[in-house]
Amino acid sequence: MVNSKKILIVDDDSDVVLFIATVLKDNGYQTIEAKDGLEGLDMAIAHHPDLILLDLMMPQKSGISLLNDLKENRNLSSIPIIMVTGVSGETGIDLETFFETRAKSQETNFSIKPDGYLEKPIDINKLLNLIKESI
Amino acid sequence: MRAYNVVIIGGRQECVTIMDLITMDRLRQLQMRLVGVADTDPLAPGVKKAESLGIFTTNDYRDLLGIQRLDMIIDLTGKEEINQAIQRNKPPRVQLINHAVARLFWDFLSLEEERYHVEKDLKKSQNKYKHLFDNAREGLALFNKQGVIIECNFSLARMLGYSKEELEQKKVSDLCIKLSEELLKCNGRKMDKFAFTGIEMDFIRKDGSLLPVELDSTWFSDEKLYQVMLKDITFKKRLEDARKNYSKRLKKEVAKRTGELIASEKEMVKQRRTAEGIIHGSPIPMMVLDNDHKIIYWNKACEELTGFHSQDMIGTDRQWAPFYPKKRPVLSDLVVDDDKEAIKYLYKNMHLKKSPFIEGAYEAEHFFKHLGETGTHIHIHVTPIRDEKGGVQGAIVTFQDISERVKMLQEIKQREDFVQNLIQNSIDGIVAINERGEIEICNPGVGKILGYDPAEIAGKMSYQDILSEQTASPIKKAFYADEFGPHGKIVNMEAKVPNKNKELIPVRFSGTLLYENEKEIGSVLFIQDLRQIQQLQKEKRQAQRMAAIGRTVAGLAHYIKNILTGLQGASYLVKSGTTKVDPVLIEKGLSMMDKNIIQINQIVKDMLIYSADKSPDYQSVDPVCLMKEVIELMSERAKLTGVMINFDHESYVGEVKINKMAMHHCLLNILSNAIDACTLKGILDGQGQVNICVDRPDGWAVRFLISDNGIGMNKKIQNKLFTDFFTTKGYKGTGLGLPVTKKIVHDHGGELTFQSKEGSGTTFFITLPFNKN
Repeated sequence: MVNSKKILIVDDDSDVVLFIATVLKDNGYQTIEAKDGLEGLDMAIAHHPDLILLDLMMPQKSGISLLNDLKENRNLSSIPIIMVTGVSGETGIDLETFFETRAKSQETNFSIKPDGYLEKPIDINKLLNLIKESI
Repeated sequence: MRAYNVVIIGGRQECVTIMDLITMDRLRQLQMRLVGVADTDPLAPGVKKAESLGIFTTNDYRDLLGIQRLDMIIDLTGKEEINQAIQRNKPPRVQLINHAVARLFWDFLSLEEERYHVEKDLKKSQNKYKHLFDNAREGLALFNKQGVIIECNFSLARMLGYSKEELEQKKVSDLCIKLSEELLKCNGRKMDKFAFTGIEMDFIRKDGSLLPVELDSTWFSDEKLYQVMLKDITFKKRLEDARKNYSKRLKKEVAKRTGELIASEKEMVKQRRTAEGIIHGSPIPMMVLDNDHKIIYWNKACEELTGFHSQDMIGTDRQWAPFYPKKRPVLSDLVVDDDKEAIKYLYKNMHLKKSPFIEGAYEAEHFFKHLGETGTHIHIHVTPIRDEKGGVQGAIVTFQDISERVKMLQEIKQREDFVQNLIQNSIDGIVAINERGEIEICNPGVGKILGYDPAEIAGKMSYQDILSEQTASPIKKAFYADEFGPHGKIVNMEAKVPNKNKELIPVRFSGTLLYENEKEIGSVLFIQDLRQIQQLQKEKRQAQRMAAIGRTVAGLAHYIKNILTGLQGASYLVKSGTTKVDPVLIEKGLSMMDKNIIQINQIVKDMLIYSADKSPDYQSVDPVCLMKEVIELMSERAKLTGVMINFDHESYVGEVKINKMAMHHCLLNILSNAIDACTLKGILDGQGQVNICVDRPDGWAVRFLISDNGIGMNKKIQNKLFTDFFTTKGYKGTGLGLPVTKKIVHDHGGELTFQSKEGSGTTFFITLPFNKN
């Protein structure tokens, strides 16, 4: 395999994980998987992936909580993170706007934001382009 | 017989005396005639007297010796040589009497004269005394030492009711005890001491009654007699008594009057002080004018009101100054002058009123633009001060700043207008009735709601006519009962009232009984037309439903996105598996596809139930059997996840009328949630447990209790639990499970409640009532 970049997929929906993992493997990436935020943090520390695909809504520890933890960790803060979510403009709010608004509200350390956004249903080409750009 | 002619030699005083004796009428019987007087001094008194009597006089005694028929010569010279010369020269038969003999002679004559006089006087005095004695007004008596009356006068006899003869010979002791005692005391000795003056004592009259007298007594030692004099003092006594009484009364009266005078003076001083105190200290501005229009009081409150100091006002007639820019008579001046015409003329535009309480007093109100910074409304009250004859002696004036009151009245007027406006323009009907049940207020709203022209109502329709008999009497009852609000009030009592066209109009009554001094004086009733409100409520429900649909669509979109993602993934896996000839991958893709189809099915079902607006389709169901069916369905999943289900129920719960399919869905949903909640526990240590119970609490048809020992919920989750499309299960939940369950339970008239504690589990209760149908 020419491409041996390691990507961590964090999502509580095992079907989504299977789908994304299959797509990435088909495109020459290594994948590791976690089913919630807590496991995701452990995996990130243990494997130091090249990129993390992070679901927004998860039980135990939400995507945003994990994002904050990762970006605040000096060893992990350089890992690019792409947020994946079903929330979209149709529900009145999109993730990009959410993070912009949160940054402006000037609450503690909320300048933190992900390196890319990806909406469900997942556009495979967009996914692959984002990963290419980020790594 | 011829007269005996005598001459006197020596004209001194003795001569005059002898001349008087000789010429005295009474001694004419002596037949002596003085025929000449001689003295060397022509001015001697004897010579003078003789001349005045026309008797011959000479300064040479020898002239006398030759007088014819001279019988006697009286020589008063006392000179021996003259006497011898006369002796030698006188004719022989003429007698010469010398000085010593003449003296004897005239002494004798004088004594004789004196005796005569004394006798005469005595006689006169005796007569006088007798007369006095007999006719004296006082009673007089003479009595002897033995007390026997010797003599008494008529007055005494009259006084004592006896005749004079009866009384003489009576004893004093029979007449007066006191006098008799006095006599005894003297007992014949020291009678000269027996003399009283003005002693009062009582004498006994013949008829036995007592006579008060004032007694004087005298002891005549020569006669050895007492004389008493009695004055009848009955009248005097009476007078005295009367005087005593009068004086006593007078004294008393004087004392009384004096006391009264002092008291009244004190009272006057007090009243004056009080009046001054009242005027000065009164919070009411006051001034007092005297009848000369001069200010005599100008109190502190008056100073504050007008800004004019009492020291600048008292004693002047500047009472106009605070109120007018230039001098003019003010009401108090006119009252002092009693000028009714001027009062009427000058105060006709100032709300002039005669005081209803005080004769001659006036009240007026006016806005004085010069008083205060922006003018002041003043109420003036002027009372005349009258003297006892009714004449005006001054005036008391009180001022009252009524600016606030005027302002308040204006405000009240505005408010009243406002309220009136509100009543008239209120959409709600407002009816007010008085204590006799007559309509006082009936606004156009009433007419509008019930279809009457306001003109039809006013004064023509009664309370019952408007509200109909069927409604009026329950309203009356409701005022006094507690069913619709407390006693005296009606709060939101809904009823249907026939309108003019006998259509029943849904209305809501509110009202209150009106009281004045705790006495009911009527009531006010507000009538709200519910047609519009009901319409609005319907519209609101529709709007809510539209909003719910909006949220539903949004939630649905999210859910469908998840399903789409799943389907997309499934499709990719199948494609990838086919390319790589990987049957496992193909299998996974197909299974993923099936799962998503099931999910679409589930949400469509939920949506249908949730949006259904029809009443539940009830049938008799045994709740224990229903619960068992649901447990049966979930038992496989529970086993897979290591969760134990325990079921307990009362021995007999009985059938209940419910929509079986819908309730099945509810129980399945809650049990499924319970298993999900303790799945983690179940997988990790096999401790996951769900306890189910069916029983029948008092007053309810059935209760389902589903309790897990799972993760529980924090407050935040609990608060959002029944929100549409809220889920903690990520892609797996539709977020409609509990809202749908709640809707079904509510459609049954039941309750869906829960208790939960984060970390130790949750219990859900579905409690259903007896279905009335």
